[in-house]
Amino acid sequence: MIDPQVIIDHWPYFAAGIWMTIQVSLAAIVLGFMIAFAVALLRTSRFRLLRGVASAYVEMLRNVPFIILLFIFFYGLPFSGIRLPEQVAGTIALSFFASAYYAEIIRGAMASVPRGQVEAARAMGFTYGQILRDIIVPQMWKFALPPMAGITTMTVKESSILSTITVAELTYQGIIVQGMTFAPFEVFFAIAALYWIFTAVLVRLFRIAECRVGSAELAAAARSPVASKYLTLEARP
Amino acid sequence: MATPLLAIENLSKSYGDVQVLKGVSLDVHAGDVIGIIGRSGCGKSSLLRCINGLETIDGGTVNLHGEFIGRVPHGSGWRHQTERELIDLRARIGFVFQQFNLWSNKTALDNVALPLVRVRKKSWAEARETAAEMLVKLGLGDKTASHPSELSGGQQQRVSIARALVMKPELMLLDEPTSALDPELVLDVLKVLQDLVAEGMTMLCVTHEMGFIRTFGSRLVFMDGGEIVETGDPRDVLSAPKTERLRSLLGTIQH
Repeated sequence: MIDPQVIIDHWPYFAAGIWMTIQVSLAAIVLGFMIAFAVALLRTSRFRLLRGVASAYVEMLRNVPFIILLFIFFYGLPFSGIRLPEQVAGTIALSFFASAYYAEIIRGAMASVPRGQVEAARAMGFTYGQILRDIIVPQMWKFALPPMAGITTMTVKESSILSTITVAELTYQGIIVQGMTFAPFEVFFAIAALYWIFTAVLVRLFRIAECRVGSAELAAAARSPVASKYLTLEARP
Repeated sequence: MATPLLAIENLSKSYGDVQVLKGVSLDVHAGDVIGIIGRSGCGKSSLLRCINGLETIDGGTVNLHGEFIGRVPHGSGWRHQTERELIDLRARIGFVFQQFNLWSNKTALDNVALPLVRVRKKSWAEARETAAEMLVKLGLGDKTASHPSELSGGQQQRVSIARALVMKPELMLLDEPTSALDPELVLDVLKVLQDLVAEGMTMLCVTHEMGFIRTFGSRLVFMDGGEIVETGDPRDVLSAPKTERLRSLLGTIQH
């Protein structure tokens, strides 16, 4: 029998857990994206060595299970004299993991900005930094946001692995409550629901952002001369 | 004769094994209006792109007012300029593309103002004022707030010409500026180009608008297979082509 009383009685554990999950995930998403942006720039560098380093970074991280990456950070680093609190080690590992996926998305999105627009700016004497800031970055979101939503949910879900190094996030708290109550169904359904709510909110935010970048263009297209020629209710001969 | 504004000497360029320019030499004097014609793939676009360093040069030189572009003397040999070195030179040369290449995230006004802000380091207020004047001059005074997607091809091309002109270029390179336009819009753009000719702008224009070259061109250059095959006064060249290659090209173009 499902007994909701278990969840109600132990709500502070769930609250603390989801709060930690939110903090760790959001930090990893923001940090991961910043790393990814740098990696994506390196992948388009003129220098072969830098391109090689960046693509090795991406390939390495994408072909290793997250839990192994986490163990390297948490158990491996102390041997080289760096001892990080579990929460910090976990967040950094998660950032690196997410950054490999974000980097590929950003690289693809940058390459999707029409080449001619970049060339026009080059021809006028823009620096590469100016081209990035004025032309590429403002126009890459339309291509980057839809796949980014998927990687962002993945990052939130992978944060549950941090429970293995005792970061007191949602999954960890669930295991604690389960140990006290022996009510696995109640506890883990509640946890599943909390993850689902958090990711659903994030996906919703991405949809809103996608509409922002997409809708501006759609609206412009609807006002274009071509559209007014064809998208009209008037009968034409 | 005075020193040329632009001196191209023995310019060569290859893409892999394909040599698209095989030793092109051309002097352009201030005020010249040079029409470049040729079949697609003859190297005419590559020539323009080498002139402002969009493509690297494999051999020969391009010299603007005494400054080498793209390939510069280095020790006893030559070296390619870096992107950063090319920036100042590019800012002195206007380039107009067949596909306009306006920035779709900016309004017409900001497309024209942005280069002034970024390259010429003007304030936005000053840049927008200059840009607005230029758009009015080109008959686009009512389109300043429009995005490129809301403009017709002819309007987009005129915005792109305005964008090049506000930089006060010493030389304009136009790569088939009317080829992507509907026939009824070609005239709008040609009219703008005529005004430029009247103002004494130096232009190199790849085009198949023979009427325009015949009337306004000071020289016609016919390219084929990466070489300049015929050159001279447009009226002479067009009425009495010396080579079979030019005759057959002219036969395929209405003029």
